Amino acid sequence: VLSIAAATAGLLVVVAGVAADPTEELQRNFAGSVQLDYMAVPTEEIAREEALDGATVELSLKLVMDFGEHVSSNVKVCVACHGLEVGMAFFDLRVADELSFRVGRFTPAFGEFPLRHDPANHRTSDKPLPYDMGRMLRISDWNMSVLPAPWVDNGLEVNGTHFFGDHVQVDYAAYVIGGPRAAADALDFDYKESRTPESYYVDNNSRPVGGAHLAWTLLTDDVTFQLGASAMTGTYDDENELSFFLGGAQAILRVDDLVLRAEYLARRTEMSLGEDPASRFRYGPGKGGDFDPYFLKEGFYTEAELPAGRFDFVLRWDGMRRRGNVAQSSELRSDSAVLRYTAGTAFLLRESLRLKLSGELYDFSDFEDEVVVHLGIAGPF
Amino acid sequence: MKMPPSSPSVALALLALGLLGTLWACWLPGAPATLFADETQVPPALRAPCALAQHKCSRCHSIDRVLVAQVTRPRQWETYVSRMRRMSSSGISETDGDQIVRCLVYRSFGVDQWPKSREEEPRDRIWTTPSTPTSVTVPALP
Repeated sequence: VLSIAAATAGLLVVVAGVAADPTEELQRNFAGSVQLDYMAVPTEEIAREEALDGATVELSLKLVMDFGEHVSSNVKVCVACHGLEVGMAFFDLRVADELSFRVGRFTPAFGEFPLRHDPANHRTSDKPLPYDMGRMLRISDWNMSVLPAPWVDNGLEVNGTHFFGDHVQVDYAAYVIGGPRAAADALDFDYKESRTPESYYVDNNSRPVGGAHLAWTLLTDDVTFQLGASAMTGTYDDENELSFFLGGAQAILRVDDLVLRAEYLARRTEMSLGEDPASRFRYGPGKGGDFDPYFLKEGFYTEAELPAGRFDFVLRWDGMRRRGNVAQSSELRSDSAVLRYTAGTAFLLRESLRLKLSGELYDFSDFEDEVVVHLGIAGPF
Repeated sequence: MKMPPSSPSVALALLALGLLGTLWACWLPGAPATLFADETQVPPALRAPCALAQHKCSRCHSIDRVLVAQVTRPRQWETYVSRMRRMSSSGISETDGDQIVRCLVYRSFGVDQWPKSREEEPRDRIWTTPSTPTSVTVPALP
């Protein structure tokens, strides 16, 4: 009863705050982007077993409708390796800059990279390893990244921004979403289940996942410096028994046109031990005789981006580490890591069309090192 | 690092092709993406707002997004910039937003007094054909 009353009161406040002004106008805006990328793995005869290599197209089409100052809606559809996806379908109900409600299907606020996940908004063809969604090598062995971006989910987010004078901006967001999914006896998230129509686009365990994001930005004429932190926690299995906690931190420095970025993500995930852990896991119990049901997956990236004329140059160092027990069939060990070194450039061909070229060196702890080359073309429209 | 003898050829050829293409592209006509190809076209009073727009609007995305934005009326830039300003860590204060709108309205419509002329703008709905300014010179795209 209390929660219903609170929800009703909150809804009334929002409705009162965003009530339509008949003098306000409707405005719509259409935007999109497309990227064609070819990923080659020179160190493999046939790389398909290790990666989704070859050519991929990423297309996004977005329609924004502004119903005056207080209400807007966004719908965005994407086509990529996994077919047609609805990346956005939400309303923003804005009471003030400091208080806005987002309801629908969206990417919850977490870290910095998801803000510019669109291929036309970043200079390399692929994403930093902690946010990778399908282009990393050994994708199956690692079961993707820490938090594949864009993470899209259904839910409610409260967010806002406030300027303290002209030089300090603080942003916050708190949300509840359906959350990641997996079967009852899972060892990790099942990303396919998160977006397969067969499981329906609904929460798999009737328990929302909660999260929050806070960022502080210092602004001067030439320098922008930002610090931020994010967290997300809840359960992910069908039986609502396996928990996870995901935390992240970000630091961004922009001096004139030079941008330096660094982010760190860590996810502690509970695994189902099953009825016979000894046969399920590669490593035995700890000193106390019990199996540790948790593993820790960390990821980071540091990146420097510098435009020079029609070129943008990018240097990136990123990596991931996984610590904890693994399934008998896994090729990872109890402590596995991958580091990646990337050098790339994006060249402005015409108006908004860019040619992207990058080379990557993968340094695996459990596999032989590999080289990857990306050649792509991307742009907004 | 393993290097199978035959497989690298295609990828290396691709890389070489990409490098050659990039080098060839260096001699293509054109300039870096900027709001104005020739800044002398910009009235002196708008140069600072336009420099601000160029800097702020390339924080989360390239300035190309602004160049290709489909804005049909000055007031639409207000809404557009307002939405961007509220994005997390946008770095765009209300004062900045006003300056950016001034620049973008000038770039798109040649109106350099925005928002003073707001009341003069026809208030047609979006579903009708938007009115286009008739007596302004629209700066050339870069």
